[in-house]
Amino acid sequence: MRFLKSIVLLLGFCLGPTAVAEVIDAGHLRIELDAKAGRALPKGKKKDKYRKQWKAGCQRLGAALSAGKGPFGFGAFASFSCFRGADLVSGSKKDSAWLVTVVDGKTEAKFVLKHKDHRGYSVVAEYSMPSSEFTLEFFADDEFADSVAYALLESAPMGRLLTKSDLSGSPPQFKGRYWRAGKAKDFKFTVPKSPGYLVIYRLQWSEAEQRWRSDVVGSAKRVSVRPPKKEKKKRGSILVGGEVVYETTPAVAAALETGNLWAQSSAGPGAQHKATAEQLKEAQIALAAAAQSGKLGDFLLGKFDLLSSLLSSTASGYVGLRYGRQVLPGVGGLGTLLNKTSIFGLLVEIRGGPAKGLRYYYDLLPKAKATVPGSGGPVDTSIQFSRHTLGYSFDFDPHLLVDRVTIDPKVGVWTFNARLPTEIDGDGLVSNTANFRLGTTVSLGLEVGLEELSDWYTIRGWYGINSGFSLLKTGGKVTSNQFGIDAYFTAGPTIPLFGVPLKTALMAFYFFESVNLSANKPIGELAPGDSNISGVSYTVGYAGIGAVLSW
Amino acid sequence: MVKTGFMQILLGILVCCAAAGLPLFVGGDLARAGEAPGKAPVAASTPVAAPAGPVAAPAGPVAAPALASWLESVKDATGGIPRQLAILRTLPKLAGKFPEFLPIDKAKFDSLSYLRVADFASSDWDFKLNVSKLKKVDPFDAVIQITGADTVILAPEQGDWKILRKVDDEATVVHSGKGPASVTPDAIISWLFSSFNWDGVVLAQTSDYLLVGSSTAALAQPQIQALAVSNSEDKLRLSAAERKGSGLLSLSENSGGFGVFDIVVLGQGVTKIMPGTKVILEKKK
Repeated sequence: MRFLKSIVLLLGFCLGPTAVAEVIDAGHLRIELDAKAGRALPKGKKKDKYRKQWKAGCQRLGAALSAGKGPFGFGAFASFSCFRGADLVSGSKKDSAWLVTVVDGKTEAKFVLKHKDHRGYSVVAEYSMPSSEFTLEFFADDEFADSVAYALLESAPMGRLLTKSDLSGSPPQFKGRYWRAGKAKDFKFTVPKSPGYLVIYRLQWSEAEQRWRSDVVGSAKRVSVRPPKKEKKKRGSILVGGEVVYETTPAVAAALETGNLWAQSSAGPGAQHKATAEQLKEAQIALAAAAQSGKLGDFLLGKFDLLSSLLSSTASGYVGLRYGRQVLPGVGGLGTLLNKTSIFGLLVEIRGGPAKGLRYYYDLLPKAKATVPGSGGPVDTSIQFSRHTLGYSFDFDPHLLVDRVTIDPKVGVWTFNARLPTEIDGDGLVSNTANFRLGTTVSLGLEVGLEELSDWYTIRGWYGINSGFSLLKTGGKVTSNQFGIDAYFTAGPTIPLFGVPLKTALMAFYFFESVNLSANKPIGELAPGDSNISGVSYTVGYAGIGAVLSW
Repeated sequence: MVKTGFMQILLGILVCCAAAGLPLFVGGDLARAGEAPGKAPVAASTPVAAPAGPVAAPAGPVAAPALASWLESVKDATGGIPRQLAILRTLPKLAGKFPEFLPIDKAKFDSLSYLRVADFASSDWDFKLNVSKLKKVDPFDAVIQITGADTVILAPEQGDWKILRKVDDEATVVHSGKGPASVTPDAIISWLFSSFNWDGVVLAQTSDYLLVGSSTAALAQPQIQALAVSNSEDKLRLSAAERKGSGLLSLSENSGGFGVFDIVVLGQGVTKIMPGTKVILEKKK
């Protein structure tokens, strides 16, 4: 038995994996909604609706990816099946070397084209755009389906299939349909130009080399473009028809006698990736804005113009209010004062449109007073500050441990005034105080956040540093190091207000702050008995709750 | 098996001597094909003294293999034998940058000699198809990987042309010089053989037959004589001093840039002509 095993192993070693080059012809495509990486399925009726939307969306995407049926005649697959995870939704279960994965994720929507060999899947093309709970609904629009299909095909090693029956005339020509506008009377997004030149070739995948191998047989030149025309319908007009015509050489016609060929933009696969990704994002912003306003249907019919949509998108955002109390146990006179402090916070964030990522923070520590026992009798102490900050949030998905990393540089104005105990005697009584009046300071800050997202909560850990530089003659600097954790629970009701659905959420937070006050010269005005000191540090911890509105 | 008569051998050697323009057979005595070293030595200063009368090959009469099947069996030979070329206009130095291939008629080029050139259109397109896989690959290595070339010709519009090969895992210039007057396949083939300073290369040996790659035009001359150059199997380019003979050959069959040569006589001590051995053809007027 052992001998037999050895023989089998030896044979396996000698033969290796099947490393014969795979001739690429129009094959079967599997289109799969990634159930694991995607957002959690809605429940009840919404779940059925979501499933139906995927089935319809997949059909449209699959059709636009099919040979000769995509924009500009692109399209590479003979047939397709739709899956939701491992579950077949439509088509057949036959095996396929090609897979399109759609990830309707929490932070972004992704479309990935993969090719499979004996070693497994490898990514051929990938596009992502901001997440929207309406992403699957966008596929109801032919223009959006064309955008996604063309993005994937333009980046693939084969853009369109060319068959013998595609060619006609002398010199030989072939055609492709134009971009579709869906049910609208005009295109809603930027339509890319059809490629001016195509390379025509046979294609193989060499598994051993992990390389695409081509045999170029010729080229084709775009000779005419006929845009679609407006056609009157009962409820208005729509764009129909339109084609792109390419002229090729007799050598290509001769090569087609022996089998199908592939064509792709002569600029190369993925050469337009950046522009195509921008176009997809543009479409997503407009569609998401329309959908969020509950006007997706109107938008698809061209009755909700892009400008309004963009304005609406710009207006989408978030307002959060929070209140917290100092919870760290304080010691001595300074501790007594700090224990009486509380903090209010306001955060406004633009979450869509061109100003997406812009943030405004307002933090207020209302004046807190405490009379503490001193060496020479009771001593009055106080503290107050306010801070206006503008920030811009950059974020990305690290694909590791957390769903989103945010980096927010900030600039602002910080007003800080306090009279703080600075020394205690042997009995623990305040022996000295100092005025820390920094007046208005220019504040610079940076915040880094790590977020874990789900449909009903967001957990956010963060660290921030803020430095305020006093504009007073005495100079001075206040530096605050903070780290904290915020938890948002999007469990509240949605309230319609002027046609805009306002979503409510609750939050809880805790943050720790270490404040350091310093100056080149003695700080502030010296009162009788004040000490001529140049700095003091203290630490506080605030815990609290808040409410959030987003639209 | 020795088929060639005495007069033919003598004539062939004299012609080869004249063609090569060097003192033939100096330091390389000839023996009959297959003869043991040291047997029947020939004086160095004397042109080959062929044996009187026909000499039987030691291994007995063995027919030459069919050229087509022989070619198939050695098609993947590597080593000192340039077989597959890539001809470039530019070769960038930075990884991720792509070379520019010289547009050349592959069918015409391949018909002119045993050398094969990578199709410029397919190679250029393969670079674009594999752009993400080649981002971090050295451009020279990328050319080798994409085209399968063992020899790269860098043919800039201005300046010297260069022949590059991979030596000790490094891209190495093995020859540099003024390029041909034009970039036609004929001119490039002539330039290549002239730069190599040899006319053909032994691809394989079976019994007394050698499969030789050369130019189609040279092999089109019937029963042409040739000289196998000693110790040349690992050299891409020969200097004048290195063109010393180790055997005399005679063409018996040819197809395009490939020919089957009979071994007429071998130099003293030579029992085998290694694949990669370079060959100098007689120059017939």
